[in-house]
Amino acid sequence: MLKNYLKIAIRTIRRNKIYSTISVLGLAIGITGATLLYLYVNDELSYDNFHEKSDQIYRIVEILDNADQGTRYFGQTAPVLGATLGESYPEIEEMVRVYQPGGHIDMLWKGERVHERNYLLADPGFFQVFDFEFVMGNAENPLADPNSVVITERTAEVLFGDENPIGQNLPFNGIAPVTVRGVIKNVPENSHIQFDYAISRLNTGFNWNEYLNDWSAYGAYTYLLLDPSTNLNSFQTKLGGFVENQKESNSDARNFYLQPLSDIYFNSSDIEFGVERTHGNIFYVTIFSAIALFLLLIAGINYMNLATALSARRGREIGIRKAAGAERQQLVYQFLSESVVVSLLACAISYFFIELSLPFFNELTGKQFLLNGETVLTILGILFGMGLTLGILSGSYPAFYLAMIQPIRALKSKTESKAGNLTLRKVLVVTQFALSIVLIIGTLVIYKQMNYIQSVDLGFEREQTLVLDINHGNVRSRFEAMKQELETIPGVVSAATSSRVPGGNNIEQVYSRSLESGSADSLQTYFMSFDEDMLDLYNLQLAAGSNFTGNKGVDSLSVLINETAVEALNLDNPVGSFLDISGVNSPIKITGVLEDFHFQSMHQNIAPVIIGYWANPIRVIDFFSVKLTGNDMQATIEQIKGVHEQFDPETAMEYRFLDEQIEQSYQAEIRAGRLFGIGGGVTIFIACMGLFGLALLATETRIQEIGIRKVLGASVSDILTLLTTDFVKLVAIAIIIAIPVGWVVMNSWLQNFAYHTELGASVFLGAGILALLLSILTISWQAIRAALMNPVESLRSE
Amino acid sequence: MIQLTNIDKYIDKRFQRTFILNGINLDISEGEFVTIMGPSGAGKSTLLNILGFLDDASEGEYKFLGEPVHNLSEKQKSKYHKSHIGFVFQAYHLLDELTVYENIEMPLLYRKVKGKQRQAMVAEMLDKFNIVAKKDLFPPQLSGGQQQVVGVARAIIGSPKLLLADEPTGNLHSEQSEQIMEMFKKLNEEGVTIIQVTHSEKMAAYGNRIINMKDGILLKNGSGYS
Repeated sequence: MLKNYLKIAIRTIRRNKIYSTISVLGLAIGITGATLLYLYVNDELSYDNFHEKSDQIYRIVEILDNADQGTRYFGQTAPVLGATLGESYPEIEEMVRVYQPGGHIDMLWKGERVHERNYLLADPGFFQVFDFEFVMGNAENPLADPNSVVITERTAEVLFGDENPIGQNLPFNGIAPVTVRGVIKNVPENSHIQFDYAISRLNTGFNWNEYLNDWSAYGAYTYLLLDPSTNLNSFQTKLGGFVENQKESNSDARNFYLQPLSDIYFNSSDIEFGVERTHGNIFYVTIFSAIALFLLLIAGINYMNLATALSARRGREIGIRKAAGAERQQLVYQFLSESVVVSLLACAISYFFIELSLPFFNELTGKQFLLNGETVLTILGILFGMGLTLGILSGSYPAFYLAMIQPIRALKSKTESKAGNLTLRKVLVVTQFALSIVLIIGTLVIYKQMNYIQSVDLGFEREQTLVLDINHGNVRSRFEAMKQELETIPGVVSAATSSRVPGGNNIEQVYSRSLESGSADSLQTYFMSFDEDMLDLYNLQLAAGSNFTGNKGVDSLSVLINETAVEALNLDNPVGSFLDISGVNSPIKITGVLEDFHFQSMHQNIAPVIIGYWANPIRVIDFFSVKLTGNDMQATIEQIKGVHEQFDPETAMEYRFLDEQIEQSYQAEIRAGRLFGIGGGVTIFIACMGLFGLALLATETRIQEIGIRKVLGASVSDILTLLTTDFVKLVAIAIIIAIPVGWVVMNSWLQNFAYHTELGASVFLGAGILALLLSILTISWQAIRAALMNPVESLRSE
Repeated sequence: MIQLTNIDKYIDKRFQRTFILNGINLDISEGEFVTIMGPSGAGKSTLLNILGFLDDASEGEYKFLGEPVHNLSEKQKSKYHKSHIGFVFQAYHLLDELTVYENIEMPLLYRKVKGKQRQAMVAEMLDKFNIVAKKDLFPPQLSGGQQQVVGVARAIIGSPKLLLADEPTGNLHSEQSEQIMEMFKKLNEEGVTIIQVTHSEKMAAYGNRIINMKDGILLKNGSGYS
């Protein structure tokens, strides 16, 4: 019987070539998109869950309550906290601290400069708490001894090639050689802890003992492995008492809470020093899951719509089968098997689509999905599962609908049966288009916002500015000479140095207090250090007072502040007044007020910022900004590299263009915009394909009517109107539904930005007109063909 | 075999009830070859459809082999239908996407007959009707007469006790019609009860009882065997 079902399914598919192509292709595109998005969402959600005990692992997050600024959270703690906790509570099976001091470690390796930022220091328990797969060496306790290191496969490959790395020494500058104890597989992309070198405690000049016992210190990411039987709530309560006790003897002790490992990736956006890399955004994960469902839904609807519409053609077949003794159930099976065949066919095609689109998709999402021996089965499994589910779900409505047709009615008339479900079919078309239009609105809003960011006046110039990292003490101490050297290059307009550049992130924060107002409360402000050339180079405007003079003796006790800071500090006459700044022993004089500029991304409101001179006790300089003329960039950059090499004996030059760096802050949004765009394009394409099929069918069944109308004197345009209005009405309803939905979703998206564009009518108008045009284009091809047909022929055909 | 008592079939429209069949009383015994005749719209096909369980009567009693059909569930009807009744249509109603062989085989599939046995039964039919050479052709490749032969073969492959034929020769020219009628006659002699609807006196002559209908009423019960 099954064989018979399949045979019939295949013949029916073949007989209705156009409709089958539309269904299969629509499903294939839908399944492809949904599978890719599933991979993405699944990958996002799988962050950190490859550790065997991931549900027992918690990170300590410190809480800092501050009357002025509300509560702040820190991902790093004092190292002594973890140690004390570990000793005090049996619930804690293992405690491990990880340090990522930042900066870089360097060595001269086989004549090459190795410059490494991707490293961490860890307690010996690191590899017991976290499961990273070992390929070589001691998996049990590789970090037991000081000066041991575990490296990743890719590092081993670079450093050692085919040699066995175990037991070899790595001679990093400034520390004793570290010995390779193990090699692990590359750290999975979906781990919030990323490293190429995991180093045990070092025997260096640094005073570890003092640091490890200092309750006021920071810098340790502390992870606790709790006993599986621990009740988290009661344990948290117990820990509250612990802090109170500690505070009695150590006034520096701070409050904290435990953050589950699985929460770290998505819920760290308000935690300072939380996750170094871009963290996940649950908003996008939700949206992309929704798009994936939309795609499947739309493709499924297409199939359902076409299949039920086609039922008019199949009424006779059903009647005959019933007359031959078919039970309703048997007919349901027959039609279901048909839809399953169609969707499995679509699966096979989507496999090739996925293979083709994967590199592009990886580029789009910044992920690394591969079709190889390991993943191919998973993907095939997903495809098969999706195909089967989709086949059964979207096939069941037509199947039941068809099987319910009364045999005698079906045998008698061909057209009677199509009237019944017309409403449902219309609802489905409206749903499809509404979903597509929402996505198009989303795309347009994102592009509008990105455009806004590109074109808005940031308060500084971002064009043709090259930013160089200062990676070496030698550069830092001789920066003035290097600046002069850079300015002699013909392609360079000017050069300046600073701790951070405008538009950046990770900006130092300090507490400051006006000595004039006599207020005891201090204000948290951002702090950057500039040299006297920064204002010119970035074209920053002074609202009052004057720039640094260039005289180190005077400038090191002066600062500039922005207008927001003036307001926040409540200063009437800022220029000439003095500030008390945390970490500085003497009063600091405000010599100038800068007009506000967006020194952070547009996600943030402009905050108070204090700008100190490069020679200040808080923050050293980290970057060169080099303004270029724009002529012969390549040669200019080569020359800049030459200058860099004179001053930095060890590291290779790290540089990027400021406008590109600023764009990096909007990576997630740009990515989302592209995905929305593609999602919108694909969904509307599938929806139009479905519309095409329905229009084809509608004209086919109305061919006689059209013939009669033409004989009676209807013009071509009369016929066109007749055939298109029905469908255009549906699209219009879809637009009306999509607009409020799009408004709500995108309005909440815009709230991610402190500075954003307005939604505006143009976005909704644009999306609506686009959908209308596309649908009219789709239908009119059919309609024109029908309208131009010779009526004599269409009448004869019946 | 068949007992109809006061069968009505009507359509209610607003304030008016239109009768298609009105107070039909009819007995048909096993082994009869009955012809229903009458003008268009007399209700012949409706009566045939009710007899074949394809349609329900609005009112009245229908006993098939002593069982009251009007009380049967959908499932039971389908069971009777499968095992006792075969249909032949004026428009042949073969499935265009199935071959001759598969068309004939179809009722057996719904009867869940095993593959081997199915093969044997279809082969026997092909043989009986002399269409072995055409078994792999699709219906549109056959002439009307040949298609109806396939239709008859399909109708009787399940060895029905009752064969219902709605103008089986309506689309055929006389030579083909005679061939089909000869077939019916032979089947009747083998014990199959046949009820056919026709306009043609000539075709009616093959049967042994004629029922005339007009406006949903039986005019004259062909009284037995001629």
